[in-house]
Amino acid sequence: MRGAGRRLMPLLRPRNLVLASVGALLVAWPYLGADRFVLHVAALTFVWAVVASYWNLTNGFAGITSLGNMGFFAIGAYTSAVLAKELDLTPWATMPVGALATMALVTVLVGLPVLRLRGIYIALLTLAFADALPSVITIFRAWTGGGIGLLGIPELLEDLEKWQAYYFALAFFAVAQAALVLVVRGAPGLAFVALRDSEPFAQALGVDRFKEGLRVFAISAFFTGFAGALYAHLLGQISPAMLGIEQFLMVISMWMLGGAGTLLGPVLGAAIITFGNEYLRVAGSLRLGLLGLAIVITVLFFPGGIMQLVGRARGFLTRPRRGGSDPDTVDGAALPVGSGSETGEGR
Amino acid sequence: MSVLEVSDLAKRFGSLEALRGVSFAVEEGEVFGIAGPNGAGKSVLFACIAGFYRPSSGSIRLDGEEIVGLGPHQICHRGLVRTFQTPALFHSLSIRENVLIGARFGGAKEDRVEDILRFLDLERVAERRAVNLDLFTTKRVVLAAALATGCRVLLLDEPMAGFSFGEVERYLDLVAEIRRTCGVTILIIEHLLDVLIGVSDRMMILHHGQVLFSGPPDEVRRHQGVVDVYLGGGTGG
Repeated sequence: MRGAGRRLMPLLRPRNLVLASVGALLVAWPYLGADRFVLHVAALTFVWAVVASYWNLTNGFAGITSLGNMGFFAIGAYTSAVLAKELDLTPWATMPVGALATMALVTVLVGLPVLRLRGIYIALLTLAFADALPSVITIFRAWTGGGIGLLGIPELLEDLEKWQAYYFALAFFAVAQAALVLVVRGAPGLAFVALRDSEPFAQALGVDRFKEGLRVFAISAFFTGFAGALYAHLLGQISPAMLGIEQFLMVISMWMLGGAGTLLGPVLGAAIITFGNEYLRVAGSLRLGLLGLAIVITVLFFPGGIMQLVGRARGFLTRPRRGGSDPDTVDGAALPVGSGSETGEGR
Repeated sequence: MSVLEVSDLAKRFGSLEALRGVSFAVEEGEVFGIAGPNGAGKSVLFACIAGFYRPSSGSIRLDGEEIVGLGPHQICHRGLVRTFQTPALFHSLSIRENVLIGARFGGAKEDRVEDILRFLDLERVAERRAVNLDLFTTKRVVLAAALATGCRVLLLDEPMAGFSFGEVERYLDLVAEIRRTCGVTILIIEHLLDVLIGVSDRMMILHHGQVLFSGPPDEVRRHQGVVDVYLGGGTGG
């Protein structure tokens, strides 16, 4: 009995209890009086949280400056939507196909060439990849609808209700986040972070930069492509506008605002930006300005994002008042800022 | 048979010849010291052996097998690991995770990690993040991670730079212990010539990318070429 109790103790940590409570609240939300609009925005938040989290996997955890993740999202969305519409297939079959197609295309077209480059050149090539997609969409306008977009994309269910869409998006979010935790806490995450922190040392210790780089692109592309596919079937319409600068900056802002290199940060960032974007519509053209201001303030004063604030608050609450030493310091020196280092929540 | 054989190795960066016809062999279990003035090509030599640079010409054999053209991770999997002059640990990971990376990706068994942490007296700080560590602890973590790969040949690039005298002695004790208990062949680049003479079985002095001296440590100080270009009037260390 005592042994079982000891095994259960880690599950009863305050953080796990808070996460379990939030999870229960999210499951119960539709029954707690949330209206259709709120459920719709929440469903979109789950989708964006996955996109932001997996963008953060490449950039925050693996330190690969990819700017092409909205391209991954668009490939998943268009592949699933076109297959469902043209071949009259159920979205439940086309969404995994869309995700797999995204993974294959990104790994071959982006991963292979990009990983022979470094730094800013990776950013440029991935950005060029995403930037080329609207032209590809236009070329295949007979299927994709060109610049106007693709309308009448089959829904996940006939006459899909908002609460149903909410639960589908929540389930996808839960699976994607669980997979992300496994990746980050497992051997791949260890390799990604090692390469980010000190690539030569990681290579000297046997980490294969190229293989791990391909792996991070493949994982990120699969879930981002799946998110794109779900987005298409939730909204019923997509257009090349999803590859525009506004959407691009919004998703980048999500993981930057939340905290790069952390698991929870991009989720918080997605919630704040998606809901903020909707509720600030009353501010008209000031909307994007206000969001931008919030991001600038965060980046300037808290480069580690919201999770840095959380870490500081936790550090303040748990710091010994007199005597003793800070458990996160050696020889009395303070920790550097950012990349989840202060939160202990990332790698 | 020599565990490591370097033959006629050359490395050019454009018109700069960093290594010119370097040849030497290291026997199993040996400590092989390498010294030379700044810019002599010592670190470039390590980079070529460990797969970070592709040599312009020449051959490098590990256990009789050619390793030129292999990547650093592949060379690590064959049992050769290098460390760096400026140690850069995985700062967002704990000390234990730093060592675990060596075991997990270097191809060794992960149960080595605890033994190695104990061996290098890192158990007490194993859960701390590898940031803001003092230099001696940092170098011990580097050693631990390298040993965790299960390597048989270890290339140490100026491992004692920045140490106090006491730390140098403690580090030398560690090297001796590693050699005795793990049977690892060690190549050390070091500017502290007295230290290198004391710890090495054989030595090599590089100058302008060429081998100026190769032989027993006690002959280094008597070699006129070494005195002229490196020791400067017979002083050194």
